[in-house]
Amino acid sequence: MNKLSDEILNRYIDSELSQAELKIVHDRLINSEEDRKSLQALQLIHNGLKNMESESVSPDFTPDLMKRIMKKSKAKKEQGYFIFSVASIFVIIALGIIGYVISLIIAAPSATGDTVAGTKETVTILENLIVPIKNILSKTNIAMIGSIFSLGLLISVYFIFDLVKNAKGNLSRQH
Amino acid sequence: MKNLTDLEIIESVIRGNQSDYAIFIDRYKSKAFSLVKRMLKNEMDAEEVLQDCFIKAYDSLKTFRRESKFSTWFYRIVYNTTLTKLSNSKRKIESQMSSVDEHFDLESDYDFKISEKKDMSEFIKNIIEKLPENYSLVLTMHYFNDMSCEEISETLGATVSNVKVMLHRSRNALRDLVQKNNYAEELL
Repeated sequence: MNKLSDEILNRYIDSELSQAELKIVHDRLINSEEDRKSLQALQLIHNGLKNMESESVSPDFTPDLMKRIMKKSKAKKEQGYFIFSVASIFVIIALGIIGYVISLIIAAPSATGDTVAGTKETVTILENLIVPIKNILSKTNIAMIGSIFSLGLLISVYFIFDLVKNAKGNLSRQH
Repeated sequence: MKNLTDLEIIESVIRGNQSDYAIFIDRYKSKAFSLVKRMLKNEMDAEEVLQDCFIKAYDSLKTFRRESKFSTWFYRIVYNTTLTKLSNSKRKIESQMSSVDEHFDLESDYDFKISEKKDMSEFIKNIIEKLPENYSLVLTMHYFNDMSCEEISETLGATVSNVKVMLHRSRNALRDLVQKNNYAEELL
């Protein structure tokens, strides 16, 4: 009689055998000491593996990790608020400009209902709007605006650099 | 609170109860640590990588589609994050996962010491270290992480039959070592 194959023994341990296969295995185990020993050793390994304890992490693992997670989500929230505020300012300014243009158009007299005259009036209003913008962006003013923007940019870069430095410092302290 | 299922914990965290994530961490940290440590073979690095795994899982909670068990999804994050850390060995392990033709000889690798014979867990732990990477991972996932062959195959991207072959071969190799050194009688 051939000895039981390793595959059958492994499937026996994993309870994957059919009733018919189980009967054959049980018969073999009664009659063959070699198979019995082989199964016994396999069972020993299986039980040994099952009873092994997992490795443990340091006791502060969970609180440290939760601190990191909380800090990260707080920073994410603050970043969200900042983006929302900046976007809101731009939207408000854009809405203001649009509202102002619309109010000028509505206020313009077009008693005759003549479309050509109406168009001319709209063009005049738009020209009136563009002239002050042109004046603001004149050669003398553009240098001043550029300087203000550059200063703002420099301040922003300084704050971003400081923020990154602090974040890196926090991370290295946690490790 | 500790009796919550994994899904209940996720839903609670998504609803804004961030502190509930600590229950999930406590539930999986030891099991996942065994897996990461087995792959990295370095305790300090393993803790650091495991923290990154938990943070990645936290950030991706909303993307969990419930197509598999949450633990399987999490272990996949753990496996992939650790593989990224081991980027140099990544290709090697992945190529091993796609093929199980490899043969190994534990007996020539393992030197029996009398002191180790007294402690079954120590003996098994040492032997698992000597197994090829893919075999030791399958054993770790099956026995330490309580994962079925189907879940392991999903996590590792290997076929279920390959996982079974690796599991059987690992056990057979351990058994042969025990039998040839008459270790079974001493331990029984």
